[in-house]
Amino acid sequence: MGRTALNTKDYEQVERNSSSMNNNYMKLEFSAESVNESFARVTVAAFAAQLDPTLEDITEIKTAVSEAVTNAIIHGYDGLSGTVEITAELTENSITVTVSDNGKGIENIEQARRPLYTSKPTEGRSGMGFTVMEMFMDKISVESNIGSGTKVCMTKYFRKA
Amino acid sequence: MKITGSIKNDTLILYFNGELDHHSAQTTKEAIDNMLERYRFKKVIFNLAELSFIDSSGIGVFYGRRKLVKADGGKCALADINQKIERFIHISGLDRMFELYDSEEDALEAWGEQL
Repeated sequence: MGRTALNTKDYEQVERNSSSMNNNYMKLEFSAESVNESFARVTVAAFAAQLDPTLEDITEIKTAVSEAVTNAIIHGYDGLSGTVEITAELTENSITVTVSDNGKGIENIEQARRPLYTSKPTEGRSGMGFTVMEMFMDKISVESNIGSGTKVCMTKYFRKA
Repeated sequence: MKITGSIKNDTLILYFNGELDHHSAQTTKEAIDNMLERYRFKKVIFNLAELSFIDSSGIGVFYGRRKLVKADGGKCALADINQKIERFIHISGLDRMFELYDSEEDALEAWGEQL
């Protein structure tokens, strides 16, 4: 009887849960402290390792994660405390990583993604973070809301050996 | 990240050991700038044999140090770039900002130093 009480929305939820359960999934949450940048990239790399990627693929994933987490800490929270959340989902030939913060958000995503653009030119930042993510991952999307945070989603496909 | 320096004739060789990211960038900059300000070297070699990771925060570290040395009329090179960071050095454009050498000896030789 309980089943018939489910409305459409509930069914959608059930379907979504079961689809993500087919794929191996992990979620990680940590303080937005720069000391955690290394922890974050190494953890995602360790999770990806079960797909038996090349060392080059692992390096590229680590670098892309490092860029996204650094952005969350420097730009999202800008010195304030907060948390960064990472999820990663594996299929048999890909990894999709999301890096989210609840920080101040990006006013102009297109400008932020432009090579060499930095909102902090006096701090010796290169403005290459998004460019590196784009070069090292196959797909990247950015969602941001002013005052509520930014979510970067990136996918990498592994070439079969 | 550990930075150690050695001096051969009038060239400063800086050895990078560890991971260069946003977290380690600030202390790395300070360590190098202290040496540069104190001794005013005109020739600096960054030995990257033991640099195991670099991301875009590292670009600013290298680019900024190059600017300091160049402002004093000097020159910089990257030497002994290991396989883990090789692709990043090319993609980031650092390979076009610096003279690149397979080893510090090659750099010293190219610069006319006695080995």
